[in-house]
Amino acid sequence: MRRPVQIDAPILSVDQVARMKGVSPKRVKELAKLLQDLKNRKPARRHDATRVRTSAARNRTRGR
Amino acid sequence: MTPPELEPPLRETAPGDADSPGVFLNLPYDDAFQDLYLAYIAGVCAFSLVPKATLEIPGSERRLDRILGLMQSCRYSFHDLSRVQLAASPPLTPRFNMPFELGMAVGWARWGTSPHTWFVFESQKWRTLKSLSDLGGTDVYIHDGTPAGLFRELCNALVRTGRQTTVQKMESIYVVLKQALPAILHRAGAPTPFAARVFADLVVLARLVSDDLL
Repeated sequence: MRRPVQIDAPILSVDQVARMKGVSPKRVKELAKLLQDLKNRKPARRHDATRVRTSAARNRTRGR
Repeated sequence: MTPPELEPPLRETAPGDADSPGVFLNLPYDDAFQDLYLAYIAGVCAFSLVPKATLEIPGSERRLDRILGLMQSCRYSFHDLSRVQLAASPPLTPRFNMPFELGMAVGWARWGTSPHTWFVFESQKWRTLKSLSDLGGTDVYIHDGTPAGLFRELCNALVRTGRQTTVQKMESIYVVLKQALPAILHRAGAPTPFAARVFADLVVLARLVSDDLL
């Protein structure tokens, strides 16, 4: 297997890439917000499952 | 009319520009390939390169001329030859587009006026020796048909000093693209991600994630 090819191309900023792709600054902001929303999204299913188990355990204790 | 918030488009890299950060992606556009399509965008953006694809070229120009122009504006090209099976719908026909475009890239790299480096990717080892034996002696990167395999092979194919990337970073970008895809498709009113507007959104989002992970 040959050695990896060394990349010598310049690094463009996000704004430059967006302009190259015809994506408006407004849309870039929307995409940044979408990214933020995804990062803030709760891992709901696992959390709920924990709560159900905790509640069930509490009820069992009460029943005794 | 140009929307008021749009700045003049950045000059597209001219054919023959050796400093182009563009990567021509020669991929099949079908639903079964969707995960790898997202993975290619994630992987290329993780290297701070800019993916380009035939689906984003507009206009009335002859398709072949547009493909050639796009390819010539890119310093690198990735050619995925993993879809060699016959189309499901009659008449049963293999798809020649991807090998044909690979041939164009090989020609440009050999006789073009600027440096061009091309890479071939496949899902199965040794298959290109049967499907395209002219590539004998060429390193073909085998991604096993999985995003993880593709990220591994991209790291085998490319290296960038200063801002080196990792498989983990590519995976993080890929996960975000996959999660964001329904919202992007909904906004574009597109049924599949193989549309120009969706592709542009995915590229910009991937670069946002890439910078966010620095």
